[in-house]
Amino acid sequence: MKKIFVLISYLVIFALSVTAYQAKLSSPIAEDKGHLLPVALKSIASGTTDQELQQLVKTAGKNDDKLSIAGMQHSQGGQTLYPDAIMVDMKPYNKILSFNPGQKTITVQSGATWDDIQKYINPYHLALKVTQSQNIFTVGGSLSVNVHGRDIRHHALIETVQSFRLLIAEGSILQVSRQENQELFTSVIGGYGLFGIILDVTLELTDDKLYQYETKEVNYREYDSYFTKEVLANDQVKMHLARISVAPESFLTDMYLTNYLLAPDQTRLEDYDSLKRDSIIALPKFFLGLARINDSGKNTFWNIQRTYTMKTDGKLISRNNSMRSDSTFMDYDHASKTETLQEYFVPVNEFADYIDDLRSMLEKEKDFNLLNITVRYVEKNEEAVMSYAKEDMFALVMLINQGTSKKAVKETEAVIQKMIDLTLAHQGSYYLPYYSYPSSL
Amino acid sequence: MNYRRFVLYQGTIGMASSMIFPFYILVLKNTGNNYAQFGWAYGLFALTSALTYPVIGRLADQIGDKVLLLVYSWAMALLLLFFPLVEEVWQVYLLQIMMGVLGAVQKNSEKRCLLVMLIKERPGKKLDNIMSGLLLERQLQ
Repeated sequence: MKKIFVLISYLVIFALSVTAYQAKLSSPIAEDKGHLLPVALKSIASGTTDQELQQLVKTAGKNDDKLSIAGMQHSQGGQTLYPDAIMVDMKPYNKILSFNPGQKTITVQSGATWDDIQKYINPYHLALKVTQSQNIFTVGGSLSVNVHGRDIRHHALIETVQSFRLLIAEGSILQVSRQENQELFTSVIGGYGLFGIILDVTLELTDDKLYQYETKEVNYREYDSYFTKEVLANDQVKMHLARISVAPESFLTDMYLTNYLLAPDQTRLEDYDSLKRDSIIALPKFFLGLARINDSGKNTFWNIQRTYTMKTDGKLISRNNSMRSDSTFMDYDHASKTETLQEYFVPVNEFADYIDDLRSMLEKEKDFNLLNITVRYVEKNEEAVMSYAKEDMFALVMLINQGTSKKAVKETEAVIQKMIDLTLAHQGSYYLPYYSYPSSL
Repeated sequence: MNYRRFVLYQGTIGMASSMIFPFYILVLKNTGNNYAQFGWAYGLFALTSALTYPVIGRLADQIGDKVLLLVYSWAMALLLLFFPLVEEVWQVYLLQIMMGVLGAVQKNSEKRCLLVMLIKERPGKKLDNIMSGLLLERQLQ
């Protein structure tokens, strides 16, 4: 009798523990890749068909629930998170729906990643027109922030979108293109998921080509004229990526760059067109780790990166492979620190003066841990309502190592607001996605 | 308690704790937000264990190992139900302190149990070997 009593009481407590745990799970704490915005959600849901997603939106409408939409959650500004909302995880909605190699178009569900598309179209010698430098992101997420990449002949992603379907809050589905619902076309792309769920997207493709690296070191003072004369004016150059030093020895003065020239012998594409996988990341991860620690680590990282890149001069690479750079070596897992991104755009002719001002500003900020700056080019494109490329601009992407405590966020905010003010003073603009450091939009 | 039962008991406890251990570390890591807290959690465990060990040693003679081992098993069974619910690091500390006490109960009783059995079975023989074995085990833990 006594034994049974003990057993039953234990089972009751066990059941209570399980229920309490499930209650805790049912309002999951989610955060995006910035790790600065943990938010308690009501739940996380997903769907693999239009009907499932439609049902989800309709039910949420009936129950007066808020919805937020998430892909890879790299936009870092909390756009994918909302307190007590249902987060729609779009990653499982990732089928390739139709592909027309003749017309060079592909229709995919918005949870598909660039990698999914590349794997699908590579055998047909086709490539994407615009993606980020890495290929881990979903199509829907990339559309919502209207990304750009290192291609200097194609610019913002919006250029390459033919049409998409949008699931709006009422639960109905709209066809959106430059002809139909045109207003939505320019506001949904770069619209941070505020207008509805992007269902499937038809993208324009281009031919996969063989490129040849050309690498060069320049001083930041010569960069804009070099770029205009040697890169932009030379129609053989298809892509371009530069880095400016954040190492104390050469802080914001030395640069090196890579041009991707159309290779003279395109018949050799076959030898280079198998899609590369992630290479061994131990070495770059190690040197990036050194750069996080102190100034001499930053010097070492810069010298090694530069030496390595300069050695790639003359090598060949397919377009598809050049659009799938490694990113795993940047993965960072720290209990009280995180890495965030910022992106600033400055007009081409303002570049050198901007860098001078940025240097004198940042030299005073000894605790600001800036790890890397890449420089890309975007041509003026104001098709999207929220456009960053108000004229031909250089885009500076900064990788910043910062603490996650309130104090550390405040300190980072102070520096970033100064950088934004500086950017605006040089007729520049800034990219909205990243953490809400700007004081106004 | 006979020898067979004792081995079964120790085996089950050993298996359970080594199965839990990897996940337990994850729980600690997710709850704390730096590795120092992880260290403190372990420190508290070891400290309470050390402080309560002599007291429990004396108690063991009065209460008997069977009761103590029962207390240990049931208390652990209850305590572990609270781990999934932990959200704050102080809750982990509290649990670690309780686990420290229980750890001392278990270690004490198992050794006492074994010794009593051995003395019964072969009085006066090879006890020195057993004792040094037990001491070594203590060192290794």
